[in-house]
Amino acid sequence: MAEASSSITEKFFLTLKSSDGDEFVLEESIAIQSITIKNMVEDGCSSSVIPLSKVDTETLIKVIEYMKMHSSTSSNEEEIENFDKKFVSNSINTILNILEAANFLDINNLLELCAEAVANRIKNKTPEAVRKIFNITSDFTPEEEAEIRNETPWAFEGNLDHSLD
Amino acid sequence: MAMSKAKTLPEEIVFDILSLLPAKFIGHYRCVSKQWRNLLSDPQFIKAHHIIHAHKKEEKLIYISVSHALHTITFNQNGTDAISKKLNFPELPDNWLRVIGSCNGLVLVVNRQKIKYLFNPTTLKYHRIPKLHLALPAAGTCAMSGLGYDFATDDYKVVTLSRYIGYEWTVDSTFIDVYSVRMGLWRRLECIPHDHIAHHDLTHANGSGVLVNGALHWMARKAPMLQYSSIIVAFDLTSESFSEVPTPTVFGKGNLGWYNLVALRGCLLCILLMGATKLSFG
Repeated sequence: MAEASSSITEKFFLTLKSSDGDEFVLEESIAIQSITIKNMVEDGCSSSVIPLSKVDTETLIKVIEYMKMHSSTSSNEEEIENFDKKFVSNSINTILNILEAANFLDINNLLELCAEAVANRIKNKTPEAVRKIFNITSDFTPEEEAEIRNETPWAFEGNLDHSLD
Repeated sequence: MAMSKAKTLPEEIVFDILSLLPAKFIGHYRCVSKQWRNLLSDPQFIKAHHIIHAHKKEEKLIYISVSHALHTITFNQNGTDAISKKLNFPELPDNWLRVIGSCNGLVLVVNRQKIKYLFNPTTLKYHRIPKLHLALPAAGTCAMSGLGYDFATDDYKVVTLSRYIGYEWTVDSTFIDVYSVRMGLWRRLECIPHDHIAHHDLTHANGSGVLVNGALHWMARKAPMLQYSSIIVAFDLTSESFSEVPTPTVFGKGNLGWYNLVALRGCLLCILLMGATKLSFG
């Protein structure tokens, strides 16, 4: 991914700046898959660098890869399908970061893809593993938690997965 | 503080992820945190989850085995494999007789003591339908029931038609009773001039009302009785009124009684019991 060295933003190019300060030049037609960016362009806010304070460089690179693949007229359906499959095999943490970026940037396809990937990955996990993945500390007392578990004993049948990815 | 680190996902993202999970895991994750429990119990979430999963067409079959136990069969996406699971209700014995109907994933079942239960096969939560105090005696009578949902009042309703069996038939001899699950009450409606029980054999699967388009459908016979003209009647669950459904023109008058009504993807279907003739209409 090339970093933008030029300060000029041409009519059909946009410069996106990650929270780490890295700048990326991207064709406007590709970038406006993000409704957030599209709105900025329409409001005339895109003449300078677009700061994306909520998206770090690693995540932004992934998001740009995704947008390039999904906007390019040369990629066929099979290519896109394979790309998506590979894309969601990233670590669950990476996908959660992308999910957050997709939510902020308002890229619906990407949001759906990642939400489904996370749902598939956490499907069989223990509540403890899910807490770790989502950075949640239980605010239940042990008694409260036991009570909730008793309400839905059917949910705890079978083998659950303790892993975090 | 519910969260260990400052960086946590916005609730709308958690909502999106969790709404994609199969129902089983919804119950499973209610103990993750108070925020998750509240989210997963929220009616808006439950509605969104239902819409997503209805669209995914994760279909289950439910049946009663020869040992009177209830089983569900879940098919995988290609329909090439199926998993059968016995439903164990801690407080209810396996003496189930017949599945009367199902609606939005809830199932109405009657046991051998003629007691009806409405239950959710995933959560195993159940509601016992109280006996109708106006119920006819078991001998010399017949009854048919159906389960439906009234969108207007967000209520599940059990509808029972009953009458005495005999040759003498009068206009007011079929009783219509409606049980509201929300109110927990039976109500008797006014009689209407149809004999709503065309099939006397109650063990027959066709004894149940067929739910299509917010209405329960039954085969019925129209007065005067001696002409034996068969009709299909629809009971609208919101207006609680009967109307006659036009019958396919290929049927001559009076021979509809040989047919069974079934629902198929929102359409009403007539199936001839003894032959291969099938006919569908909206």
